[in-house]
Amino acid sequence: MSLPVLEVKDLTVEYATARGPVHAATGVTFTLAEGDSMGLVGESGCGKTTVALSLMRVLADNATIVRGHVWLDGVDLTELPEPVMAKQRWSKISMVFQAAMNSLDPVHRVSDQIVEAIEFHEDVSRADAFARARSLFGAVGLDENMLRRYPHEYSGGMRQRAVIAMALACNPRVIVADEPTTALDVLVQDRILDQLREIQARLRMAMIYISHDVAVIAEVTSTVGVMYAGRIVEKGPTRDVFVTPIHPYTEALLGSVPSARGPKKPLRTLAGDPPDLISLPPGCPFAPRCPNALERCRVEDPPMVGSEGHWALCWNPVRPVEPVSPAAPVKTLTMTRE
Amino acid sequence: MTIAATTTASQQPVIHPGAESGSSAPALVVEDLRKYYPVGGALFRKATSFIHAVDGVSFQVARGESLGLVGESGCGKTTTAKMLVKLIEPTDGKIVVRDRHEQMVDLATLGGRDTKLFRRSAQMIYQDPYESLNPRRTVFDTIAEPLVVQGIGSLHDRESRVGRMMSQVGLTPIGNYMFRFPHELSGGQRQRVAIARALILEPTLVVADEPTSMLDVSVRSNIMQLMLDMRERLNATFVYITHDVAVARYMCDRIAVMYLGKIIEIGRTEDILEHPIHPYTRALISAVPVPDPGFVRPKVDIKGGIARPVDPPKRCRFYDRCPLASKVCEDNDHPPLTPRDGDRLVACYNA
Ligand SMILES: Nc1ncnc2c1ncn2[C@@H]1O[C@H](COP(=O)(O)OP(=O)(O)OP(=O)(O)O)[C@@H](O)[C@H]1O
Ligand SMILES: Nc1ncnc2c1ncn2[C@@H]1O[C@H](COP(=O)(O)OP(=O)(O)OP(=O)(O)O)[C@@H](O)[C@H]1O
Ligand code: SF4
Ligand SMILES: [Mg+2]
Ligand SMILES: [Mg+2]
Repeated sequence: MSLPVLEVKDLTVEYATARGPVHAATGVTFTLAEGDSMGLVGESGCGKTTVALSLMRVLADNATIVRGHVWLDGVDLTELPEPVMAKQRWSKISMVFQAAMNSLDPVHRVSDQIVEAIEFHEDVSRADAFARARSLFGAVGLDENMLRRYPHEYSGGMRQRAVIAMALACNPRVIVADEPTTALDVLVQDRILDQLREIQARLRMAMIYISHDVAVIAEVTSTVGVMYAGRIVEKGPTRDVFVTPIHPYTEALLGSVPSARGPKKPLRTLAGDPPDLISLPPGCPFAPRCPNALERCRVEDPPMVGSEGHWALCWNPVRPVEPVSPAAPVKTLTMTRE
Repeated sequence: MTIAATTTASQQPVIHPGAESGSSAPALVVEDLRKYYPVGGALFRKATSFIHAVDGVSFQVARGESLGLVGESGCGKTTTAKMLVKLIEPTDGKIVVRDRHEQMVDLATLGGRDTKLFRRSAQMIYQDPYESLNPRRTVFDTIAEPLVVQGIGSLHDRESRVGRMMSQVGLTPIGNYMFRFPHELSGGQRQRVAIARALILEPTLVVADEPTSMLDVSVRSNIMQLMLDMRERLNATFVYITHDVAVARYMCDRIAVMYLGKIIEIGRTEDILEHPIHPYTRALISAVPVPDPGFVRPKVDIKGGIARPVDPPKRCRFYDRCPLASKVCEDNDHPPLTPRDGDRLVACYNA
């Protein structure tokens, strides 16, 4: 086992709204070692981007990190003053934003933005910074002539690739990729994923890969966390989670993937309404939609079951598993309920 | 008066056969469409090079039919889509749509008033919901805006229509979202606001540019079902851009595959997925990932970088990367689309 690069413990984030606080992330806990890649999957609005933005410390103004810690190489990022954090951003932890367009400045050439980022963090000549930008563009399959163009001249997928190049510009220790290939066709996506994996392996970079695309997660990650209503409800090696899911939500999620091959099955959806993150019910947040729900699920927080390596939070899992000896995440979850 | 009454009453022909008669009554005819952007020009220096973003695209879509547009990033899908709804002007070529009076009208001839009427029945869902939503408008104002612009319904009507639309796209409880601003929404929630806004007028022509790319499978299935139902109910015509072949399979009757500004293969969805003919389409279909951790993707045999069509040579656009390229391809112009088995057209000398 290599050294942990990133440790996230009990991360809990709320957004203030007129209707009350939105509980967007609750008790999120995980560790990443050098060269690890972890996937985050889950329904739209379940809190994936919130977790990512907390790690980068670029949350919206109405957000608060209520509890929890994020250690990067042993330094607690949640406690750093902003100017110090600014030095870490991009150089030690960087992000491919889901909002590709918003992360490119419309009035500057893309080359200026990448070169400036490199110059801010490293003592390099402009020519060297430019050369690096050029090679990154090559890696993401963008014509180097595009460097001198403005964002509005890029297609959707080109912007996304420019943003990936930018995230890699300063050889970060951790890269958080939030839906980085939503605008890419499968061939270009393949190529980008190959490049990402190659760079990641070479620099021993740790990666968090957020995607709704289960097939891509299966391909690029070694572990995966499944989120529902702001919490990680199942986590384990990607293969195990996808082949032998424990949590009823994970099973439902995998069951609704339409296939491009084989017989055309009717579209499957998950019955019931998405969780209301402003007023969550007591007990398991999935209970109102869960086919396995018991009386108890609506009252008490579910326990952690499975094993240390592959666990879920559930009272009535889809396959027989042992309870995990009382561990931290369950405790912290219990504390969140007023 | 509700919109349902205005649009359906005027659009619905008295006796119209179901969607089966796909080849009948075209709703949209595109002829030799082109869009060139100057590159390298500056204020006082005339551009000498052009990007051929869309370079001679022709197709027809029948009423009630859905045509998928797929292809490599940067191949001209969004540019085509924007021309279809008159957001940008073509450099050349023609777009003809069926209007409310069953007349085929050339989009280029529409004046201001007619353009507004056209917008009532033709809507585009934009690719990037971070770019397309006005940051200073609440969810309610954003979704209600087309109703306001078209002067449809009282405030009360609008509220109930917006509320209904929001629950259909899963933005519930609606009270939680109604008065939020775009930056207070997740990516997929924004995408659903954009979809709700486009569908609220019950359009009969929908141009959807990767509308569900940020949605998880379950929410996505709901939205796809919503669009399928709407298509059936209004006999609406769809042009549906997607890179997700599984989505295309459910949403599209036919698929047009684009490569660097040109359609290189077009035909029925199932035929293309089962038996792609053009070498680019073959590579594309074979690369579709399968949600199985044990699955190993076959290696694709197309070489070279992702090109950009700046003053492209006359020969086949795919020449530099094609595994089948030969002397014929080098010496001749880009191949014309020629008929193959079934209703298929393919642009290749060797496939
Ligand atoms: N600034 C904000 N103010 C209020 N609520 C917010 C804000 N930002 C996000 N939210 C809410 O917090 C929840 C989590 O949002 P987040 O963006 O983390 O979701 P996500 O899992 O990334 O979803 P998607 O897959 O759709 O991008 C959502 O329900 C969203 O509506
Ligand atoms: N306003 C513009 N000025 C100059 N070039 C442009 C402009 N808009 C698009 N282009 C170029 O036209 C080509 C086609 O772009 P378009 O956005 O139509 O691609 P696309 O097929 O939608 O790609 P993607 O799947 O990545 O969104 C690209 O090479 C792009 O760089
Ligand atoms: S705890 Fe109960 S409600 Fe929650 S997922 Fe498990 S069985 Fe379903
Ligand atoms: Mg997100
Ligand atoms: Mg596009």
